[in-house]
Amino acid sequence: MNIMKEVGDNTVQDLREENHRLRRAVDEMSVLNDLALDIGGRVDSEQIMRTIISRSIRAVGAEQGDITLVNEDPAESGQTLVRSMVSSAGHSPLHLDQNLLGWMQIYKEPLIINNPGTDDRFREVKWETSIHSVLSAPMMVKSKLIGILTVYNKKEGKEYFSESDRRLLSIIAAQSAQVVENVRLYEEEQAYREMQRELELASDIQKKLLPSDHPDITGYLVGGKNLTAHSVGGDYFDFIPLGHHHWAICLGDVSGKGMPASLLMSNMQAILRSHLIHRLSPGKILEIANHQLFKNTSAEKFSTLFLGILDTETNVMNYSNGGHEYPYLITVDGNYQRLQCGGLPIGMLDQQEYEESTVELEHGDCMFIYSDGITESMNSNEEEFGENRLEEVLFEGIKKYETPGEVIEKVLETSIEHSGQEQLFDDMTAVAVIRNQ
Amino acid sequence: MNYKVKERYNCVIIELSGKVMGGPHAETFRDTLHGLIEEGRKEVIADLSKVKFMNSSGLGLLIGGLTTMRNAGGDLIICGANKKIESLLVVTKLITVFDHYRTLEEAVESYKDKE
Repeated sequence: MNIMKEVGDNTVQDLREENHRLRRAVDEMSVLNDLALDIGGRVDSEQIMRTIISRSIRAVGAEQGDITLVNEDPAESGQTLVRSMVSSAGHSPLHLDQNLLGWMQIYKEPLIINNPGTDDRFREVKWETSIHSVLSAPMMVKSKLIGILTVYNKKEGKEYFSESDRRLLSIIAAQSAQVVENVRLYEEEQAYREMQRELELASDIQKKLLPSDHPDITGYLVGGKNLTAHSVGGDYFDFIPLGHHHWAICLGDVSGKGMPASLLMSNMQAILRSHLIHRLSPGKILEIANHQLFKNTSAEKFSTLFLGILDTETNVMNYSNGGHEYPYLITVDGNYQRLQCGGLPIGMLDQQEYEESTVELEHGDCMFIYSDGITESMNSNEEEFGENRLEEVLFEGIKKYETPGEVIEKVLETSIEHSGQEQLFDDMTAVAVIRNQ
Repeated sequence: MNYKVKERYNCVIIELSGKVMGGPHAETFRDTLHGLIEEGRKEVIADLSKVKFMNSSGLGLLIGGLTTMRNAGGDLIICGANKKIESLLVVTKLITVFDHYRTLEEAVESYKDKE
């Protein structure tokens, strides 16, 4: 009889335990289900995290909670950077989470701290007196820690977090991790696409700032071309009619690449164009432009600039070279000179003076202006294209080239071929002026 | 680009190496200079003997340094520029702006002479 009762008692005990397990499973399912419904089609990472936190707080009966997202620093393995944090309270004691973070990175399992002040593992931490219990669970995606979900101060019952609380929170954390990560990736992609769109718009604007066509200049064939390393660039060239058979021809190279250089480039173009209409001499223009650009920017931001003003009736060009690669003036008989006269790059140092000089263009002469992206293009042996190779291309073909376009294309082609790369390292720009009458 | 800072009794030598092409290093370089100024070290030598390559953005770094030091009542002089860098300084006419020396010893001497 007793044996039967004992067996009976065991069976009842087993059944009770089983019942308890099932009930707990149902509760957990229901929490997860509610959470899933709540998150639903949301794509706002902050909203999602707030939902997770509030559900978690409710599920385990805590006062407050937070999610700290982390990044493993790729440069220094072992270092964890906090990417962001969302909290149910106004603010959360950040130092607290830095220590949890360290622990979590190592152990990657749920953690209960029921008496923070007396817990050996966290003796070094200065706990806030208002915190009497802490429960924390790792959020993992493909065995990488992406964040931790933490709740504070168990409200009901014994005011300590229990094993079943720990279980529940760790399930919530496990389920939420992938969702949070997916949303974060989605948001990152959206931001990236937006930036790409902006860059494309900027690129369109910039392309329109540069001359699109070769201008019609009596007695001359003139052309220019610009290839940018990124979608926007810092090289600049321009042909500006000044009236009375005068034309300004210039080429400049703003320091740096990409968006910052391109912004400065448009600024410089505006400065030049607005002062050129006053029919000042090239040296004077560079002096003014230098002062303007110097005021607008720091010393590291500057532009080299070659500016020539050509009189198409006298065929005399007055020029000044602001720190730019010396342009070539090649005569039909194969001789050449380099146009050096001028001063410092524009915008580097204030109160600069710019010397001027003149050249006369004979029939058949060709002036070639270029940016250093062409001469500095490097091959895999770290050999630059250099001036010698440039001169080879220019001189060997000088009688063959009929148009500026041909000269420019040949130079660009040869330089790019030398580098052996598809992608340009630096912007490449060239202008050619041929007197054909 | 990398650089090492060495102090002598009368000046500071910043030994640059690698490719000086501007970029994010410009910030750290400038911070280093400001740090030196705060310590009252205003005589700086930029030793370029280990610099393999410099482009115009790299020049911006030097010019920024020069402006910073001169505004603080000091100077930034250069030494050890190879032929390529020297020709870059010539084309941009910056050779007229910087005090430049062939060797480090000559550069250090020049600060002694100024005392």
